[in-house]
Amino acid sequence: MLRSRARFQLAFPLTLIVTLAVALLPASWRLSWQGDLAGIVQIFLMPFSHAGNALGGWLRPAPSAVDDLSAGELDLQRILEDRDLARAEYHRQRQRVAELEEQLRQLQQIPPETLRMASSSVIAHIAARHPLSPLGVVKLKLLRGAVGEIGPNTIAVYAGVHLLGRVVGEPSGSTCSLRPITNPDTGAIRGRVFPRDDPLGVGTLTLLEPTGAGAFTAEVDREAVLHEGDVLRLDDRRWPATAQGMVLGEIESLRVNDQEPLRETITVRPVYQVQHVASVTLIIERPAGDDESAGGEDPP
Amino acid sequence: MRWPIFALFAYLFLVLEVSLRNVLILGPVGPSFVIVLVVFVSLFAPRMTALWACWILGLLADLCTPLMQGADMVGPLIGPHALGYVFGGYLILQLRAMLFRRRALTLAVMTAISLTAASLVVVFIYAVHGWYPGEALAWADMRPVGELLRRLGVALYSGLLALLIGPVLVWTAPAWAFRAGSQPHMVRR
Repeated sequence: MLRSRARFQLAFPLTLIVTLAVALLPASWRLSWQGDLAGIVQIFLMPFSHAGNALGGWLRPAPSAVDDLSAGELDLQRILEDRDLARAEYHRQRQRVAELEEQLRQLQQIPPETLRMASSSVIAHIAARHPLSPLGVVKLKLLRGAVGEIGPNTIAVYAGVHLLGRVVGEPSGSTCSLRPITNPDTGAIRGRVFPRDDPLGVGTLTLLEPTGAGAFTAEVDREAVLHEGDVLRLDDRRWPATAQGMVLGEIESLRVNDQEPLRETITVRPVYQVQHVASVTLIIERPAGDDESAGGEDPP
Repeated sequence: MRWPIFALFAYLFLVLEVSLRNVLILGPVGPSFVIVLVVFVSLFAPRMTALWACWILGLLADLCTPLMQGADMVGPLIGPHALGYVFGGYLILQLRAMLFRRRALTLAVMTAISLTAASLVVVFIYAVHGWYPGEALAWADMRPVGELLRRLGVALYSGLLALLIGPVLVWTAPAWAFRAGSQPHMVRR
């Protein structure tokens, strides 16, 4: 009995020595396992400590920011809040004005001849793009009143004369789908190249094939003497009349075709791509018979 | 001493320490509930039992004390409170023969003294860690002396708390069976 009691009494100083050694261990040697032990203790304490915290919150609620303010300071606080709100509203309205100015500018850039053939034009915002395919069909958000007028084949332009694509399918709800001109599903497009130094000339007819990488390629006679930067305009009766003459893009590069030395291959890239703009202008074609000048035909 | 009763009270006081203490904080000073139990057990329990109880309570206090290093919480440090509470309890064991143990005032004064003594050990160990390369224990931007003064405030505040809790603890003393733990040894011998 005495021996066991002596052993028990010896255990305590040994425990203290071990505790001291552990207490003096550097942080890197002790953090992980001591953290685990603390976690176990916390698990046991958690249910009732929550109740204690709730009781504490009830006994001493968290101070409110306005509790300690005098009446004058409260008034000042309200005035400052009103000022911040007014500033936020001012910036919101300024952004709205800039947006409307941009839309007006877009609409004013549409050639009068195109407008004569169109029944109306509306601004549509890009609502969604395909996350994996920048050339894929995009969703446009339409204004409430414009949904009924828009249908398949309605063209989308940017900066008045740059053709971006056309609507595919019927609008659903307040959205519709726009297929970019560079989308491979659009197929070949007939266009006419106008040299930069003779923009009003006859031009050279060519057939543009989408490359699938946001550009077109085409074969043209070398006689045409084309240069980089020359403009291509739509000349394709399968597209609506409102789209005729719209800019498809500019020549990015010319390459001599080795198999046909009298022809050269041009790469045409649109000046604006659908994935780079926030909104487009939809030009709604006048129904057939309303205007004789509307020469567009439905695509096959 | 009945260890289950001790475990129950240890749990209760730890819960109070980690939850209700925050409500009672005055500036940088908050009272300690656990030290009141340390003092109570040291006043009444047999010598070795009291020391073991102090060590266990200190160990649990260490595990419930998150340690800051700069702005980061680096987890607990086992040892400072375990050793500090043993030192505080030992001091009471040396003095208790001269005390009126059942008085609430005794418990209050001894709580303040015991926690001050324990703080010496705790601050010393923390200070040693401050000398280690890469370890800078944060004491609310204070030097060890400043931290010691803050803990003196904690000790006084805990003494006031003991004045309220003490009578309740003394009232539960029969349930603890402090004498029963020591008497059998005497009887058997």
